[in-house]
Amino acid sequence: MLEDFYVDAVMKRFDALVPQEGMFRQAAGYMADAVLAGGTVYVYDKEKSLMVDANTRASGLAITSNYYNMDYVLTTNDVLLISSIEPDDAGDIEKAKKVKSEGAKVVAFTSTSIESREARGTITAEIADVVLDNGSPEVSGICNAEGIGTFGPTTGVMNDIIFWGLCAAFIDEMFSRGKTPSVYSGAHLPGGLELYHRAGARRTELGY
Amino acid sequence: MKNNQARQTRRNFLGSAGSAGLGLAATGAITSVGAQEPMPVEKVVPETMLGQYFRRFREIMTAFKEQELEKIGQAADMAVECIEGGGKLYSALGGHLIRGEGGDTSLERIGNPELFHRDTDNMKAGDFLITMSETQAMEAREKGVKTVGWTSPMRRKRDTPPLGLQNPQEKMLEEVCDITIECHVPYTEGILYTEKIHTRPIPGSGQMMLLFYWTLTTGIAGRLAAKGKSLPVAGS
Repeated sequence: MLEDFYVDAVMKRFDALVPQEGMFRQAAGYMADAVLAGGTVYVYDKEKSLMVDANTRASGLAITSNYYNMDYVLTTNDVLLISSIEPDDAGDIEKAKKVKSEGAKVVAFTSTSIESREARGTITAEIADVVLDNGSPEVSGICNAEGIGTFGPTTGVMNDIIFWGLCAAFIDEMFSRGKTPSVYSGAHLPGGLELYHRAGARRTELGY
Repeated sequence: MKNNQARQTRRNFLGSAGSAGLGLAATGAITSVGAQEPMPVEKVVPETMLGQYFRRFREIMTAFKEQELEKIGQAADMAVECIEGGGKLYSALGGHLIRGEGGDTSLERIGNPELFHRDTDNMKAGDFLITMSETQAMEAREKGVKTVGWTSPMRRKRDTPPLGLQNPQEKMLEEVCDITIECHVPYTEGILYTEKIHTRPIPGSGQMMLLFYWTLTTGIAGRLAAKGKSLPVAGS
């Protein structure tokens, strides 16, 4: 059945993240450099799925609640985390190029190749400072059936999995620098709401 | 992952070897071998947060695969029966996260078969609903809607401790839904642990909800295709 096939594929792609530990560490280093220098870590995905999951999330980092907007002018102290569904999405590439031209670092969650069709020129992975490969080159999905076509993409779930792995690596990086990042408690836990607000206030005070 | 497993194995080995040594010494059965040749002690490197994440999230996905796939298959069968009977499929899964990823019933997301509607006010007998809310599930069932529950760390479920939640709801999804799929994320939401942070960091339910959504979607689409049905899918 296709449900087994789909879950197996995601698990296989998840396992392929483990050898990318060095890239996670490098990206986490950029994030730590940014917040300790007074900069900002921005998050962007066209679908606004990851941006929502990253924002003031129970058990999430207090530093990732910043949506990126093209109107912003970033600095060398900033980092943009960009999650791409299509590796050659023109909007993603435009944003990555703009942010890089402003001197900020770009970390992309994307596929490093496209298999389902010809790439429409540059891909985001070629622009980013660090690429965390979601292992999803087929873009539109891993299943194919007559009457339906291609469906069942793994890009979204993989990019979300990558994002939270990067947050874990960021905690490691901050610990190694003698800092403890602020993490939101779940408001659903006893006493959690107060701790949630405290984490936000701490982040405002310290920058992380 | 392999390194973490190796460390765990070494830890277990050292622990069990120590216990065995004590047992032998107590019985007086031990000879000079153990005493004169101390076991080399390997420094155990603490697991990093990223290492924890790789290990813990894989454990969660493995539990999901082993314990939920059969139920997801049953849910997919139920959804196909609803469609064949003239019913509609509705999804009330978690707000913006799934709305962004799965689209809003329209063909906004590449690779998303047009299966689910979101305007749940229009549900009627013979329809199918995925929900995270016990109240919504009960109301839907009263209308004759088939219900599939997706559990959340934030709502009481089978493994939630008695004082775990601030405001636990009276009923659990599994008590009110036709089929309930477990997210396998603990009530804390955070899936990692460090003594340096007051709460468990790094949530797991968002990733699992996306995994569930796409697993069920592919299951339903695959069954419809096998029956020769066609479906619009968002293209690139």
